[in-house]
Order: sequence, then C-alpha cells, then structure tokens
Amino acid sequence: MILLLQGCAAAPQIQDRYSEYRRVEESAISHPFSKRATMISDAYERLFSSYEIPGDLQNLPPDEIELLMEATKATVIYTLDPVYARQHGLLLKELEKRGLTTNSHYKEHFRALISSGQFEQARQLAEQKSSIDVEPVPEFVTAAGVADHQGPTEWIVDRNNFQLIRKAIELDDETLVIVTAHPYCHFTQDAAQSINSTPWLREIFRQHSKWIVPRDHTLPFGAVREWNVRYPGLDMSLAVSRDEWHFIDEWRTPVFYFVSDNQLVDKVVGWPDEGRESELESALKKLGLL
Amino acid sequence: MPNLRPRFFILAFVTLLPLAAGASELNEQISKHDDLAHELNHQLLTQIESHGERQKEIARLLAPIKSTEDLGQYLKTYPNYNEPFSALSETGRQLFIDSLTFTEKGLASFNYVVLERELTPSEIYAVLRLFGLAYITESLEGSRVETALDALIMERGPSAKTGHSDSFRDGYYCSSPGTCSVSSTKLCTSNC
Repeated sequence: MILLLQGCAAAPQIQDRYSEYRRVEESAISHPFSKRATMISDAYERLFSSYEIPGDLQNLPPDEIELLMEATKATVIYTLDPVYARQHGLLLKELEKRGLTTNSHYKEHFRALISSGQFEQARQLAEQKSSIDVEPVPEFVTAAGVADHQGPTEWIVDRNNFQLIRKAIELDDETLVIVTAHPYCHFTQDAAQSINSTPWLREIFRQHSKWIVPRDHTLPFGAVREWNVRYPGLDMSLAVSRDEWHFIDEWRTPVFYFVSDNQLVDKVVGWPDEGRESELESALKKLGLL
Repeated sequence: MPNLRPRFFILAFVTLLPLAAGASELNEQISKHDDLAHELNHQLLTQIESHGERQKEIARLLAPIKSTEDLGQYLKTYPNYNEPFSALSETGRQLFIDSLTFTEKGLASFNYVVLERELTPSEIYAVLRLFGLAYITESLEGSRVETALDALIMERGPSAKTGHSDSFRDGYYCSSPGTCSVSSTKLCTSNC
C-alpha cells in the first residue's frame, strides 16, 4: 500500500481522524460481520491512506504513531486482513527504531498476527519476546481430504498433542445445530451448562451439534481442550475461515444455527439470564429433531 | 597369602550399606518435603485466590456506580467531572462514558484502550474503583507508569494474569441479547 506524505500540518489531523475512525467503529460493531468489516476498512482507507507507511513515519511524533497503530490493529481485528497486520508490523518497527516499544505493543502485534492467520510469525514473535503474556501457538496439521473439500473446515484441538488438526465438515445431507461459541464467553458457558443439565436437550445436542469458535485475535487452545473434557459431546473446534460458512452472518457467541442439508432453517441468538430453552425447542421441531 | 578380596568386599558392603540406607531415607524425606512444600504452595495460592475473589466481590458490592442510573446520579453530583473522570480528555471522557455497559451485577464492559492511552495506572485505578473494578488496572499494560504509586499498582501478585483473567476478557464486550462480541477497544468484566 503506497501512501502520500502530508507534512507537518498532519500533526493535529491524526487525532481528529482517529476520533472519526472510532466513531465509525462504534456504529459499525452492531452490524453483521461482513458489513462491519467493510465499514471499518473503508473508514481506515479514507482517513489514513494519506500517510505513507513506512516512508513517512520518521516525521511523525510517537503519539501519532501510537494512534495509527491502534487504528491499524482495530482494522485487523474486524477484517482479519493480513494487509493491515503488515501495516501494524511496520509501525511497530518504527517504534522499535526509537526504542519506544513495550510489552503491550508486542502483545497487540501478536494479536494482529493471530487475527490475520499468520500463525508462524506469531509463534516466532512469542519466542523472541518471551516476556509478553500470550497464549502459546500450537502446531497446525491438515488431515487428508481437506484440499478437495468444498465446504467449511475446522481445527480440532488434539487431545494429546499440542496440535490443531484441520478437518473437513460435511453439511450436505446432514441435520445439525451449529453453535458459534467461545470458551471465554460466559453466555456460552451458561448455555452449555443448561443444555448439559437438561436430558432431552443434552441428548439431541450431543448427537447433532457442533460448537465452533470464531476466528478472532485469540487461539484458546487450552480453554477449548478443557471445555471438551468438561462437556463431552458438546465438543468445540475452531473455525478456519469465516468465509467458509455461508449461513453464518454474525459471529457473536453463542448463536445457534439450525441447518438441514447445508440450508439454514432457523437461528436463535444469545443466552440471556432467562435462557433459550423454549426457542431451542421450537427450532429443533422445525429441524425435525423433535 | 590369604585372599583378602572377599573380606574387602564384605567390609565395604557392611560399611556402605548403612550410608546407602541413610541416603535413601534422606531422599525419601526430601521427596516428602518437596510434596509438602508443593501442597502448601498450592493451598496458599488457593487461599490467596479465594481471598482475592472475596475482595473483588466486596469491592463490587460497595461500588458507587453499578448502573446507568448510578452513573447519571454521579455525573449530576459532580457536574464538572471532578476527580477521577477529569483526568481524561473531553473526547476520551465521552468515549469512555459512551462505552459503559451495565448488567444487574454492575459494569459489564467498557473501553479500556482510552484509559490506557490517556491515564496513568493510579488515575485508571481511581476511575475503575468507582465501579468496583480497580483490580483490573494492573493488567492494563498499555498505560504509562509515571510515579512510584503507578509502579506499585502495576506489580502483580502470584495469581494475577493479563488479558485472560477469569474476572475479565479484553477484546470482547457484552452485546445484547446475551452474547459476547469482539471489540478492539473494550473488555468484558465478570459482571457481564
């Protein structure tokens, strides 16, 4: 991405642009993932593409580089686009040259790399900067049949080895409840506990559900492994790419997608205090599982 | 000449056997001591964590701001943004206040990036204490340490974690109805 130098007059403008970017972000986050990503990347390009990275960074004071880093990191998190992770890396290098980096900067860059799927680079960063408090990066293995598979795939957390194994998911001719879920999300935990303690729900979900962790800035290997021990039959795996799931329009957690032969039949969103048992029952009936 | 070798070995065996037995007994005692030390350390950590969790719950219950109504009342009582909100810039203050999400338990999520960017740890501590969440301050590594008090606040105890504590998760916020969503600026507290 080649950008143009604006000169010293940009100094007060970066703060204003950053404030505008944050306003766009706040209005975008309530939208479904794809629209949100477009709104945020459009705002980033409109507001910051006039600053050349890395060419013009030497002219910018540290606080403005920090603002650019924050905006760039945010854009990676919402778009998962490696281009912005690379931008973030270049900004980090400029701070490194000036001796101004902290553990927080490296941790944020680690998250940018994880968000954008650059796992080997993330691993190397964690090894080089052992003082940053981040999750270790496992080994990635691809099972047979994935390359030719036309549909979603998942990373299975291996029970015995520190590996994520990519496997194909068959949705054709299947009747499933796909649950976007996260082990860190207490609403997801509440849902699993409720389902697990309700015999008729537990039976159906153990046979017909998949709990998928969205791609984001975390790689919760240990938490997913613990989850799978705690909730056998409600096993979690990690989504490889959000683009593989045509019927998932939002990646909040938990959201229940009721799918038959790769077609969406119903959707139930969230697990508030009052629970969602009656909504699940209604959706399961539509799906023919009740 | 008599063969002294068997006597030598017998003598060596008789001499060394007690020493070997003593060494084995010593190793066993060391091993038991290690197990005991490990168990005591685990119990101590559990007590520290349990005590810490109790302190967090007490702070939450005594927090002056636990709801949108409390916030409104606080801002009316201190209309000129007296301490501690006054440490934030006007833009930062608005960003922070607009980001606050409450549940019946208290503050569920908020913009922590603006706090890190604009405040020192002692200033962040003063803000979060209003919500009973001062303990989160030590994990906000992006804040600038300026004083000895700041450094003291940022020291971490044996059970503290960063970013993925059981008490909060940065990078997420509570979105209704009953969901967690990704955010580049917010964190989700145990009140979520």
